[in-house]
Amino acid sequence: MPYISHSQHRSAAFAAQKSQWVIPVAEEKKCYDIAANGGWAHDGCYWSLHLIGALPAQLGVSPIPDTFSLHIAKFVGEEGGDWHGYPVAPWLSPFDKPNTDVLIAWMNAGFIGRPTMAKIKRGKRCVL
Amino acid sequence: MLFDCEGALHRIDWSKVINDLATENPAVQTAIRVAFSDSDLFYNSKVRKVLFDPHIQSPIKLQLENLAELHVAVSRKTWHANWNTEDTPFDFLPTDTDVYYNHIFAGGDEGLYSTPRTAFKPGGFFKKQPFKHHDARMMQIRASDRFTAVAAAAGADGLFEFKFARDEADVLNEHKQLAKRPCSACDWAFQSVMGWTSDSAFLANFNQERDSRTNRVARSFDRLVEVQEMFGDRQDLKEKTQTWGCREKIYRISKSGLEVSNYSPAQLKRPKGTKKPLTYTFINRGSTGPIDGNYDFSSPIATGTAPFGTILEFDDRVVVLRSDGEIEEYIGEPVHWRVFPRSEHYSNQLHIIYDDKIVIISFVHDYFVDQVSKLYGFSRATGNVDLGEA
Repeated sequence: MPYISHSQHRSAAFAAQKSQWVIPVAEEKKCYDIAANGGWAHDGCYWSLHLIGALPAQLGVSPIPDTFSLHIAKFVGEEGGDWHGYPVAPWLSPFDKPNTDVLIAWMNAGFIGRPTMAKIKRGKRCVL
Repeated sequence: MLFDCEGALHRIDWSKVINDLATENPAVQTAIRVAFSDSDLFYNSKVRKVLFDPHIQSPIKLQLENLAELHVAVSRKTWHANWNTEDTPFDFLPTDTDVYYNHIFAGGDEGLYSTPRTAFKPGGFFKKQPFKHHDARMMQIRASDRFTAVAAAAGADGLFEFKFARDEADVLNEHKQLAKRPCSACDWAFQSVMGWTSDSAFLANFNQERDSRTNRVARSFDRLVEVQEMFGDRQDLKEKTQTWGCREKIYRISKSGLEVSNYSPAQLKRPKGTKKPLTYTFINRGSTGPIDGNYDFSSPIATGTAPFGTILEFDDRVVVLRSDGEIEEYIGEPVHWRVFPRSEHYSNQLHIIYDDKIVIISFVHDYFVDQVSKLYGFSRATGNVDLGEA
């Protein structure tokens, strides 16, 4: 499935409205590939982490002025169409977060612990 | 009750465990019961008259102090005898739950569901076919302690209120969207509902009116009240704040400290000589200044309010600002925690779940704190005290 990095999530002009990637486009695409291959999907979206070794690392920042460090990415697209993604903050509206199955998969793989899984699930601010 | 990730519901017969513990430790049996199963006893106005008899208070306080120092272990056999496990009635792991009129309500990304308790133990304690009430992704559920209703924070979909109809198949068959603005947590403030996120808050203010024909009291939605009005701000604050509330207490925390405002809802009664009943009021009780400690308390992850104090969750600890002014810190990253302010039996408890254990903490100091003047925790005052109760 074709992947295209969306320019609004790499643009200072949109930094006040959209989350911004802080990793290179190649790493962004790698996050998408990991999610697609790992089946980290729910409701037509993929969810992913930027893994360095087995640990999640920062992949983005939330919109200005908060610029919280973000560690989870959401990928959206259409069947047969292009996909693009963006960093998400589960504790900020629209409270984008992966579903329980994806979180349990990440927990079982050792990428996140149970406390972090619970925070993400409940929409609480957390740093992975 | 505990839900696990593997689809099981664990039910512990807590009252039996505590009763057995009290029987086995007669020297502190009253303390055990008050602390762990009869929280409301010492808030009862008639019991308090006895409790504050100096000849009674001293031995009670001594028992509570002795209990705090006591190390008690319960055998695994005892726990197993009082621990039942069954399949969860829900096909999802809830984000939040509440028990109300023998129904368990569960909210999550899948929506808002409920199921009633069954009378037949072999089938499990809850009916296995839950009823779906709403599609919205629910982040927090709070049942009212005085109006048969359930409030639900639905994230980007706002704040909802559901009327509870105990005789209907769909017990939440009537709902109203109180606010369309984002809402990740909520709680009741008498007849009104407080909603908040990490960077905003509002109060869905309700009035009460008495129907002149039926003499019944009905709630009616008034409007959404902003934080600036709750604290009497004359200009926009420049620093980042977080606001939450419950009952008469509304809190706002920032690097400057913790501000407290008392909310009094609109009254049913008209003061003598007036034609109109009192409208709602907010009284800013001031700020505590920066909270002591080698920690930045200004930006909690989550908050809560109980009679015994105000609870703040951080990355690596849970902090309780006690109603007597003391601060308790529970170090360790929690998986989850909750308080039970509506409970007759557990309103003095804080439960913290960690990765490898659950800790149940009982706060018994609040029985001896002045309920009207305290800043942390909501009041359990009884009698003719103006806390906004109609």
